[in-house]
Amino acid sequence: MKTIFFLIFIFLPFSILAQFTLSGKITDAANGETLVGATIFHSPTHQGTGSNAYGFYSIKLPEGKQQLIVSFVGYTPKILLLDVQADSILNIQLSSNNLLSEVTVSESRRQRLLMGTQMGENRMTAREIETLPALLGEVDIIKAIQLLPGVNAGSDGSAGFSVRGGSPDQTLILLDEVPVYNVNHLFGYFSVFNNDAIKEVNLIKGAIPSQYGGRLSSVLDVQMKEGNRNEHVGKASLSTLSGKYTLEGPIKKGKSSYMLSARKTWLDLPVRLIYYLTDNSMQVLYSFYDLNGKVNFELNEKDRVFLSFYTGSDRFFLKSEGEAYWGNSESSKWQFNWGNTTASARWNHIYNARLFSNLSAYYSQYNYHNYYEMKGSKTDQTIDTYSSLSDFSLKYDFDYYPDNHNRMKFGAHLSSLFFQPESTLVDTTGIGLGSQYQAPVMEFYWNDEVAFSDKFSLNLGVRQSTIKRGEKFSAHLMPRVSARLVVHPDVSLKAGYSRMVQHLHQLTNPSLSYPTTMWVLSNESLESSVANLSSLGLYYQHRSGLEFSAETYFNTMDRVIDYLPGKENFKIDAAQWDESVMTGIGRAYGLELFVKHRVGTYSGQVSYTWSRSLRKYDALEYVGWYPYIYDRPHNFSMQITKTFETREEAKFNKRLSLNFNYMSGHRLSFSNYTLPAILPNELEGYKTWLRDFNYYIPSPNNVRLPAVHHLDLAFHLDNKSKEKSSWVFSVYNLYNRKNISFYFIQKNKVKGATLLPVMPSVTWNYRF
Amino acid sequence: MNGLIVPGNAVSVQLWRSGTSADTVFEAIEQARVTLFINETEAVSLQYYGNGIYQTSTVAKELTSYRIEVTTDEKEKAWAETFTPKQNFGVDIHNTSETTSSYNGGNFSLSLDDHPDYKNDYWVCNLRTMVSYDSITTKSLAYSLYSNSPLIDKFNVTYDPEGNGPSNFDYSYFMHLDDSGFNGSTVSIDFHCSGAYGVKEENIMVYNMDIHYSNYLKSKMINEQGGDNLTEDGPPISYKPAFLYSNVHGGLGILGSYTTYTKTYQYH
Repeated sequence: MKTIFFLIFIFLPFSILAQFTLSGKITDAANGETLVGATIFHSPTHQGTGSNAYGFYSIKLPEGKQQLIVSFVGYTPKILLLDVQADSILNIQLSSNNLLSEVTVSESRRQRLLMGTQMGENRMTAREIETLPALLGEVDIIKAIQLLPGVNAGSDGSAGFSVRGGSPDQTLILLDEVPVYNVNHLFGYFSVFNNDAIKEVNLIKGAIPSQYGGRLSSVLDVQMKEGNRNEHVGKASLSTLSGKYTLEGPIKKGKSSYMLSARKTWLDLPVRLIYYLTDNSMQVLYSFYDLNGKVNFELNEKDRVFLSFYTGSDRFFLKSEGEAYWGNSESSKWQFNWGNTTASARWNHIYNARLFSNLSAYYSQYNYHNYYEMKGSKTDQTIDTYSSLSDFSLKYDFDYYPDNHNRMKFGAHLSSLFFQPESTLVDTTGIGLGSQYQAPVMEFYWNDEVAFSDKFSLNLGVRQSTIKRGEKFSAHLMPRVSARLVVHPDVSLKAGYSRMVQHLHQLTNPSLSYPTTMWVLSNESLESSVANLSSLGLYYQHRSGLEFSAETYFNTMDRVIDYLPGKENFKIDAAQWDESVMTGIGRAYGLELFVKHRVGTYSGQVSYTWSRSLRKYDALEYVGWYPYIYDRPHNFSMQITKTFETREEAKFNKRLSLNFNYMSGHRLSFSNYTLPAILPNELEGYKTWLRDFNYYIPSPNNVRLPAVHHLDLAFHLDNKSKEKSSWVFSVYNLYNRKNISFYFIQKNKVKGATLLPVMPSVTWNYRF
Repeated sequence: MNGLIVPGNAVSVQLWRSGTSADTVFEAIEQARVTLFINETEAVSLQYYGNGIYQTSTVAKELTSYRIEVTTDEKEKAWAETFTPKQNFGVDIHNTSETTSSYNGGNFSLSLDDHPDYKNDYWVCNLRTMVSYDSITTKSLAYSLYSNSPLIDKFNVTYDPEGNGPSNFDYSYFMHLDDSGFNGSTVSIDFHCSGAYGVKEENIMVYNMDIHYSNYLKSKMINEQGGDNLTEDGPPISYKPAFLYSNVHGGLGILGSYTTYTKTYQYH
């Protein structure tokens, strides 16, 4: 009975006075882009709401004259005076303002930080990311999120990352709601996200809402730009590494728009020219490209359609002429390609002022293809290797706003995952050919954010996931809950719990993000991984804009997988991959501190994380708990930006940004024990070529490498005119710290190789 | 602790202090208390015979669980256990070569009966005796076995485009047959031993190994192959050293067991 009363309490509207619903979209006045997470605040009742992922909002207001404040970070707040007499639609436009003081934007941040129930959320716009110093002048959102508390990077300079002690595959990475299965270019040194095509990125690492599922530790939600709905604009960029070209504009002014962005490394072009001119007997080429596109059509006030796609690929090519293989070869060719393709179609429909829906159908594929060809005087040979993962999905999401105290989300998600482990064709002999596995997944979720009072809010949710593993079905129920308590006008406390399930697992060499990363599916013998994420946080925001947060978390993981000892390389018999992995448990815990402030022309943020991440596997039962490779207890990061005041007639706005990052070193397995070997008695007296003693690694990741730290600078010259050149001069690793990018063993000693010494770069941007 | 229990032979283990990574000479442990448990029942204490060897007159049997516990004054208990495989596992080997010249090598057909209830792995090798022109005899583990059988674990394979005999897949030293999926069936493979001048005798060895020793042997071979990474030849960019498998709790090493079948071929 108590439960029934409790539910009635939750779902009953709090007020029975005459109220009307105001709904609509919040967009950028300049380009018509929807603004995600903009807030609308009704001062007299201290009630507010936020725009959803498509800019839609809905708020109930009392009858009569009302005042609303609409705000969003980086935009001039708008005060609206309305005479509310009926349910009505109001589309709101906000104007961006680069020079806005932190005081004026604080209301929007306050709403999210102090009044929302969401924990462990970091939202960054493409414009914020652009201000950070960049490696080789290539702005990268993954590098930007590595600076956030709770995020540990992979090897120095790489785009690999671990969130709150999870493995890289435990972060759900979405591009326009479509999962991307390999986000790495250039062996992990850059990500597939072209910043010019991106609107914003949102990292959620604690109290994960029930609309997200499929991964254990976090969500990285990347949204592409929709395209300027008012005018045709473009941007061309040239950095030390790549060239980029972006076009966007209206298809029908104010109603529909397009965005197309391309990026390609250009370093292979001069190399090709050199080969052409010198007739070199060996050629090595590497390149990558990305292509993002999106169109959207507003069919009427209630319906809008989005079509978006992404494709990107890396190509490594090696060609040699002459004797190279058993005295036989005359020429050989090695080509290695890997990449992703995603496509999605989404239909927004507003059923009424309180019910918003989005129907999505998407496709995502990751594959790699390794081809070797040798033409010899005696014989020819080809080796053709291929592996892929495909995801076809349909999902239907609803946002329902029964009143200002309740905001519900619910929906369903159907997926069909196809996974082909590595298959190889050696001339005409096939290994693992035709091995393809499929797993249908069906998921439902419901979520309700309930404000019980000005001080206390609760977010209750549940997600249900059913997967067909071989001939078996297995179902998982995932409760999600988070709560917020305002203990002082400037201070709130939050707590959250999420249960997560992961059906897909990535098997990879963790020392570097190698392109032959293979995704595998839970099957009859391997159950899905499960995690329990718990977190507790304190948030403070002063009226001056000073922001502080402290979050602590404790995550447990069950049935995480890794290679069995000695089976790290099972490329040839990949069809039996499940016999080569072991399952175990994990735990991760830590404390994250974050401060952000703006004083005059200086703005900055500082974060510090203390964390541990441990694993334990049944197959290594004698080892017990051991540190995970991303176990880096100390992580300190600081960014400061100075905006220079310039004279009115000056051509450029000038900005200097600084980034300093310190992290404990990487973990590494290294032998520090030896013991005599033992071979079968029958081999005694026979020469075996096997060592008569063994190197033992007592436990995985038993050695910690030196700490990684670097200071980076960027100086921006932003042309005041919209249609002129801008420049960014960057220096990565200013004091030339010899951080270790990868390791090798030489004469029984660990040696580190530094790939990224001090690296100056320049980027030219031209807007038109 | 290292020990290999072979049904029909007395049980023994050898104990050393492990060295640092630079040591290749080891100090034997002389004052340990070593106890043997058979099928989880304490059976006997092992006596010290020098050079770190502890032994008992108890003769090992097939399909039996053996557990060794070791304590010393300076260290807490270390222990390991193994389950001995079946002695007779139905091996049959035929030489299917058309000639018997050592220069041409030999084609062989092997079959064995898997035990449905126990997870054992099978390993095949060739112990070869050669006599050179100047009458020097060398005995060695043959470095290649060739087979196209899909049943063989590919962890130590290289592809030979020219082939050797009827086969293109070249296995270094051993062919490993993982028990998974055999389910008590009769397992058959064809393989080829490459030819050479001066080969006088080939001993085709088929091992029926418990899972611990099989894991150990495989991980040892991986460590010492191209993927070794413990030498300067290892590819640094993909560095991830393999663990050497150990089933000794509270220590390092291996307690394993095996049975074997041998067939000898002589060339004239």
